Amino acid sequence: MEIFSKIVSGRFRSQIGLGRNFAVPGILAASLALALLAVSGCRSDVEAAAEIEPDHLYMFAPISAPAPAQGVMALRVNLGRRLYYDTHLSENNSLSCNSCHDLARYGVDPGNAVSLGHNKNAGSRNSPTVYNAVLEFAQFWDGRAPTLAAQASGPMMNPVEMGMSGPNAVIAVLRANPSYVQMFKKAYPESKDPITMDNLTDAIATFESGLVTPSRWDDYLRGDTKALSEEEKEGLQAYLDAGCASCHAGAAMGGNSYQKLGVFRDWPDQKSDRGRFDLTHEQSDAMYFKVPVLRNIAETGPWFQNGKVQSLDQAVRLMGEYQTGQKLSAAQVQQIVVFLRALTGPIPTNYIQPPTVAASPEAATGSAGDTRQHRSRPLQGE
Amino acid sequence: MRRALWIFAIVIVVVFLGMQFHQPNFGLEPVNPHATLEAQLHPDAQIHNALRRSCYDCHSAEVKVPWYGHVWPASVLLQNDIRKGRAYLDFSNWSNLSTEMGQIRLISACREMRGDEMPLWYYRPMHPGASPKDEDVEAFCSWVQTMRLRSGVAEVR
Repeated sequence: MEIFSKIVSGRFRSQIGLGRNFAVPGILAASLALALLAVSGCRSDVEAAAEIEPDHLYMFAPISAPAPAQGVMALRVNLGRRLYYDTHLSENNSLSCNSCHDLARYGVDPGNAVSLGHNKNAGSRNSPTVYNAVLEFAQFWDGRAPTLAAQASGPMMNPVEMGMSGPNAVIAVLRANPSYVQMFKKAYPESKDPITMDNLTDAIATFESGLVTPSRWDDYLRGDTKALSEEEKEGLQAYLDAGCASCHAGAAMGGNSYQKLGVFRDWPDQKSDRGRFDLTHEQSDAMYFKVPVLRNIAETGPWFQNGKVQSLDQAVRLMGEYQTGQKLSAAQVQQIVVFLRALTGPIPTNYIQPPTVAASPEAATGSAGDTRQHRSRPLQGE
Repeated sequence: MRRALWIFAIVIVVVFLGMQFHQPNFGLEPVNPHATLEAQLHPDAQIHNALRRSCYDCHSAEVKVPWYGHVWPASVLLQNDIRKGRAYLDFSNWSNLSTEMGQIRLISACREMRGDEMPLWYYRPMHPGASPKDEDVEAFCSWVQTMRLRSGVAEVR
């Protein structure tokens, strides 16, 4: 019986000499061990119930609510917030950033697989959440923008999105508005001509840097073992056992690498969206996408790059099958989903309060709203 | 009885030969020299050589597929191991990782080698000398630790 316990505890290899230098007798021992493993059942059954040691969570990192921005940064946050909600930055004054990245709905376009642009044309990818985007190493599903500021101008000038004809059109709209002229001047006092695309995207990015949502998960990571329920801890164990954490790790639980969609099986749709290949035209980038962030994932459906996955359960099942090569049982899927729900943090309602009268002169003084700002990128990518 | 055995043997041989038509797809694309761990992080010669010797047969696009790797059923095992191995850790595509994720993967690699979990036990008898020496593992781990401190990714424990 002793050999059984050694095998299930996983320590048998070193003990029976299958360490660094084992040779042919090792194969025999190994085949015997395999046969025994098969009859003795799965190792994880034995380990499941135990408390997860903090040391095993080394691949995660807690986040904190950002401190309020001060001085000129606070003015930039306020300006960025106003720009974020402003429909004048689109053709026909029809859309703002918030139309497709609704801050009151976890920064996505809920219920829509893809979003509709100013002329009701559909985009090609699901609107990703703007919450915690500051933690990501690149923006867009294919990572084509290295920073939030670089991202911000994209949709504005995209013909199927906000549809502005170019930077000049955007700048003309802002220059025509005296309160914007005031706000830009105060937020960028060192600029001779403060209304530029660079300052505009910087202001939006500065505002977006404050859209960070810590949750009970962060308390748990800091050592508060009661922060997660027993079910959520079981879910965390299932998440680790299934191998989810090999890509969805780090401070944002993703958003920090490009991975191939379809590792063990080719993804069924190899045509309509080939991820980074469409950007770089390198064969080695075919079907590579940025790994999405799992913070708030329960609230940011529909899921995947095309938004075609309608339930979180299904998303987990598909990931298990295509990325980790296993058919997850219904129970495993349930456990993982329970854990994923614990990653939802509260929406910072004060911080996202839309400016009441967008054109009011008070807004220009920077008095509006909460101005928290994320610390300067603690986990910056390359 | 004898005849039944013969038929059984023939069926086995036919199935074995038939399955050889199934050619594995290892998914080994040409290496982009700017995307590799070496190009991105410049490990010293000791670490570089140890990684190449011990890890690259599953964790890179530079897999040396042995002759039996093209013979079913070994081919299927090999194909899955390479795909899985590269999904977890791929030294040929290091530029696909942020600094944070790169650190996490290197820390994982250090932990697995220290725990003698890697290379996989069934890989070792086929590749004598592939297992990293203890001093190589320690050199690797202290390199990872230095980089971690330098990169300022302080929050990754």
